[in-house]
Amino acid sequence: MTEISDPLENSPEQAEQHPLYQLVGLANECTGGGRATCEVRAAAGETAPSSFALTTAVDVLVVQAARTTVTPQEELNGTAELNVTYTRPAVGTVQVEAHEVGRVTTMRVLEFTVSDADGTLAFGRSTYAVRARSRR
Amino acid sequence: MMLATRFDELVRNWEARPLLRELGITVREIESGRVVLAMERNGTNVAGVRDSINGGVQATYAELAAHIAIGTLLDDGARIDRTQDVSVSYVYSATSLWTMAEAQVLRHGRLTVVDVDLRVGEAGEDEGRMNAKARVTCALVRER
Repeated sequence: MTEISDPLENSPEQAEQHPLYQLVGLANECTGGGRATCEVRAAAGETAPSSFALTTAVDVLVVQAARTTVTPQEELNGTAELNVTYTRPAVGTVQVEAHEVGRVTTMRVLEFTVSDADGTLAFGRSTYAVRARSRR
Repeated sequence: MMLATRFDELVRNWEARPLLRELGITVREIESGRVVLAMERNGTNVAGVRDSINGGVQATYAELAAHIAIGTLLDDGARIDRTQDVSVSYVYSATSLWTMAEAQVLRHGRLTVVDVDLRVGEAGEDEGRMNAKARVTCALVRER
């Protein structure tokens, strides 16, 4: 099995080269201050991203937003909860925005919206676990 | 169409999709309202913290399992219009070589609800340990 690093440890430009980003069409990621945005593009032969692609994309973006909130004494510890509600299928390229809405020592709570040219098509909330950085 | 033949066709159609191929997903068991899938770690799905299967990939895996399980119950003219809700509780980091998904339809109607368990797949002390618990709701439509 190929050993690969966590793509989320890398810059957005490097992360976009990860096969998962390419598979779900995630691009133009921008992060900072507890917030992250990106585009999700349709797969080849499709006119819009599927909900399958968007479900992965929202989690990836939530992690990127959560990453901007951890202190040097903390480290990311994985998604704890993810809830996504879709109101309709996507049309064309989609924008995803995630932002922090709350925090305690062991977790970050983030909300996200998925929208296209016609408006919001999905929204949700995620809880992301954080822990004290282990001493080495 | 005979049930076994219909299920064979369903499996062939799903396994031919690039998304399943790229994520290393195959169908292991299929019956009315229930499927078991297997996902092998690969360079695409391992994108989580500490070399784990990405949480979004696990959510999509559960969603795919739910769609295939629903597909076993669809009669002529009915189809999945869209996923309405995906809710996942992550229990244990998915670091095993194989992650299994077992999807069971709980309610079949215009809104169909599916329960999905993701578990460690390979033999060993962690075999069967739960990675995540998901519930997927899909809206169904009937073509006129």
